[in-house]
Amino acid sequence: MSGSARIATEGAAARQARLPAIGSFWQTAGPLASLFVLGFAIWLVEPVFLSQTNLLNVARQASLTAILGTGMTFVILTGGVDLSVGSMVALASVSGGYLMIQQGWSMWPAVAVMVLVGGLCGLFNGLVITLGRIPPFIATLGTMQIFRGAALQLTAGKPFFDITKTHPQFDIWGTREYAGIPAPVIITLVVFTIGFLILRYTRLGLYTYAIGGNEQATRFSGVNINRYKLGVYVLMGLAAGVAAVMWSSRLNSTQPTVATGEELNAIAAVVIGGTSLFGGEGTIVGTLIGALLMAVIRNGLTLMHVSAFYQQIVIGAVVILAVLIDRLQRRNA
Amino acid sequence: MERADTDAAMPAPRPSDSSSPSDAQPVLELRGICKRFPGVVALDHVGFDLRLGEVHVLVGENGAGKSTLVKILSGIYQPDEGEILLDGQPVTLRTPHEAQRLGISTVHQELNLVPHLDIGRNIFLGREPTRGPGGLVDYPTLYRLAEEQLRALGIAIDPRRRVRTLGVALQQMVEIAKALVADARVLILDEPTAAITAEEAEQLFRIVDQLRARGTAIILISHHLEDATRAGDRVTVLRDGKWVATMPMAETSPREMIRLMVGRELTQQFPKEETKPGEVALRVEGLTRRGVLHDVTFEVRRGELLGIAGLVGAGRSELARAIFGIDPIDAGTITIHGKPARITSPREAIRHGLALLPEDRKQQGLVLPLSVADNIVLAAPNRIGTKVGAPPAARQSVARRFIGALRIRTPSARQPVRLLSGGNQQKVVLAKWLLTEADIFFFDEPTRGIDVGAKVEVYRLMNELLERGAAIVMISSELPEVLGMSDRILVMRGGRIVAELDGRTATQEEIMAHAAAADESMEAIA
Ligand SMILES: Nc1ncnc2c1ncn2[C@@H]1O[C@H](COP(=O)(O)OP(=O)(O)OP(=O)(O)O)[C@@H](O)[C@H]1O
Ligand SMILES: [Mg+2]
Repeated sequence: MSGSARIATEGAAARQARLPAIGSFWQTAGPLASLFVLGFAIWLVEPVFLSQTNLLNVARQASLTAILGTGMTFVILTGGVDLSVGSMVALASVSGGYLMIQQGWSMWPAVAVMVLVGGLCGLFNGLVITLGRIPPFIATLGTMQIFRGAALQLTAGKPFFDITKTHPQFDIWGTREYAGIPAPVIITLVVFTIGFLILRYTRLGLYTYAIGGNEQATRFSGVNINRYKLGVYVLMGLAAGVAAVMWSSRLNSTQPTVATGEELNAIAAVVIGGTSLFGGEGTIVGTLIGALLMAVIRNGLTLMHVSAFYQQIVIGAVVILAVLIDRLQRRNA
Repeated sequence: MERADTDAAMPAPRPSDSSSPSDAQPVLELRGICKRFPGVVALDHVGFDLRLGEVHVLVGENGAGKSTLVKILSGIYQPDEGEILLDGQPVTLRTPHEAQRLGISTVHQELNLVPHLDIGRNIFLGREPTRGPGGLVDYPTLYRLAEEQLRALGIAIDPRRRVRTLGVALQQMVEIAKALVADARVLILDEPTAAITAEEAEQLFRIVDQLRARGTAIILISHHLEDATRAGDRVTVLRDGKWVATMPMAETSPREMIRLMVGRELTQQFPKEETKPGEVALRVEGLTRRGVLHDVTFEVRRGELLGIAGLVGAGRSELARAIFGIDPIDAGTITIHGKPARITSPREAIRHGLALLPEDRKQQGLVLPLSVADNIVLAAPNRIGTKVGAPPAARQSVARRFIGALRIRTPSARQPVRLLSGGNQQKVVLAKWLLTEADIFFFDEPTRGIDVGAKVEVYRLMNELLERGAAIVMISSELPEVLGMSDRILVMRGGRIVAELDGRTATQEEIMAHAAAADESMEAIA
């Protein structure tokens, strides 16, 4: 529309347009503030909390949730959910263990297959949801069982231990440090950055928000909904594949029962980070903060010798509290 | 050049029996009301009073603060400053429930119905008639009362039908019925006629007259200044959130209201320019969708604006939806630029150069949580980047052109569109489709809820599209607009095209005669 600016009088609209808008920043401000307040409080009680070793420990603990949470943010933004991520991690893990230990593959192709298995699981979820028109909750409730079952079947239920004995390089993903920074932290940051860039700078990102915000209006705008939904579930799967590599390397083993319940941690991180479970609203930065917040709480309580049972209660309360604060903030807007 | 009769004001039969409102006491009074939102001052020390038995019209540009005032009066927003007096007593309206309890009933600009519930239950939601000691809902009475209320509004429809299955106009009527059964002392109508045709509006105003005669105090918001003149006793003008004037309706004119609203004279309401229609852009032949559309045949040329008029339920929106691939068709062919086209989804339609601005902006037009910029670029990804990329800076700079051109009132391009006023949201939907590379446009009620000044800009943009060789099909329930802008006019009734008129010579009476002719065709459908 070349000559659209044909209006002679510059009305109040244009004048107002210059005032700054606030929005996305405040969406993450709440969780971020909680993170700092909580960190400060723990530091008052246990000064060791702020030591470099401990902080890196917290970051390492947050890594699995943060990687899965990155993919989960996309899924939840579209208004969906993926309950199968824990099982995907397990299936991807044992596929790698099986190939390296049982079949004698070398590390690199095996690692590639692990990521690929995650991606294929995601593709399968996406196909069931888009072509089969099954609601994501139900579809992934099913595949959660299927993937876990496949992992158990593949290994007859048994883990593969001590991978570095035959594949000494396998520790580069989970235990080694680079310039003092643990590998899981680096992998997390890489995955997070990729996710952030996709969400912000690509069509896939734009449509992820749009589909979750109003699928009908988005379809009427000519967007190929199925293609982009499929893309989102594949991204989730790839993130699970990467998480599987990192986690197996850290444990130096692959187990069919690994990451049980991890889907709930990932969802919790997304929700604490301020993303709406109805889709359409939220940020990936919030998810990272959410994952860190959960790790800080666990770490702080451990430092204070609070039992793991109490930790679970506290985490649960934090999820509810985070959503509650979000609600109150929104009502004022 | 102004060609249509722009002053469509209908002679206002003022009830002479009702006492002159000027000596009635104020039932409701606002003093120094302020309301601020991040980046926006929506209301700036606004005063307002409402008397028993008067219809007080509120006018102003899109974003002037009218709906914000309504939301304060109905307990949805709390004012930052100022006080509300009811019968001379200061009150605080903390919740919608509280406002209703005090006798204030509101029809909001945006529809607020529960789509999965039926009409009757929606109308009585929260005040169901009960029976017996257990307080069981008395459904037979509920449906009977609902049916009566709807009939009073001139709507004959089964109250057991689900709201989801209704078009926007009927939903609006249900919303009005819902406010009426509350039997309130203060009735607020925020753009009640934006989505309905003149016929239903007439019925609504008859009821408004009756209520006024019974002493109900009514606030009416409308961008149709004809409605305002027809129904109002006094008018208050808001501009940029500030009070500008309150005048007795008898002492002002639409012209003066516009000047006070916009702050400048508006010379032409319909800036129609003559264009020479080129070759046929779209030809539809024998289009049939069982029970909805029957053997519809028409064509539209490049540079031509084809208006489609008809009553609610005549099948106009359905025709657009069928052509755009939203609803499947049973028979018929579509030819685009001389080539046959098979369109089974909106995506294919867009690929063929079609664009459809849907009538229901909230459900079909907008992604409410998304920003203004992202909504505008949603249908035209090629304008903002590569096959994969869509950098936010590019989205915003594209969008800012339209924010300026259409005078969309928003603090920034990044503002979520749900925070915009109704008329400004409509402008966003328009901008979205103007940005596409389409050359055949279907505009379904394009200026719904848009203020008089901005309407002219919309018409200018349409003229530009026509000049560039686009073809436009404009579905509209506003006859002055259809008459003022169309080259040719089709009238639909009962899913058929019943008349084709020349845009230069047609009259309102002619269109209405065709649109409402003895409805034997309706029975054929049922
Ligand atoms: N919840 C909100 N958050 C932020 N801004 C808001 C909110 N509600 C309204 N606004 C802004 O306040 C201003 C007044 O809005 P309002 O809805 O009252 O306008 P209006 O006069 O009803 O306009 P229209 O004719 O388009 O319906 C607009 O600029 C709008 O964007
Ligand atoms: Mg409004």
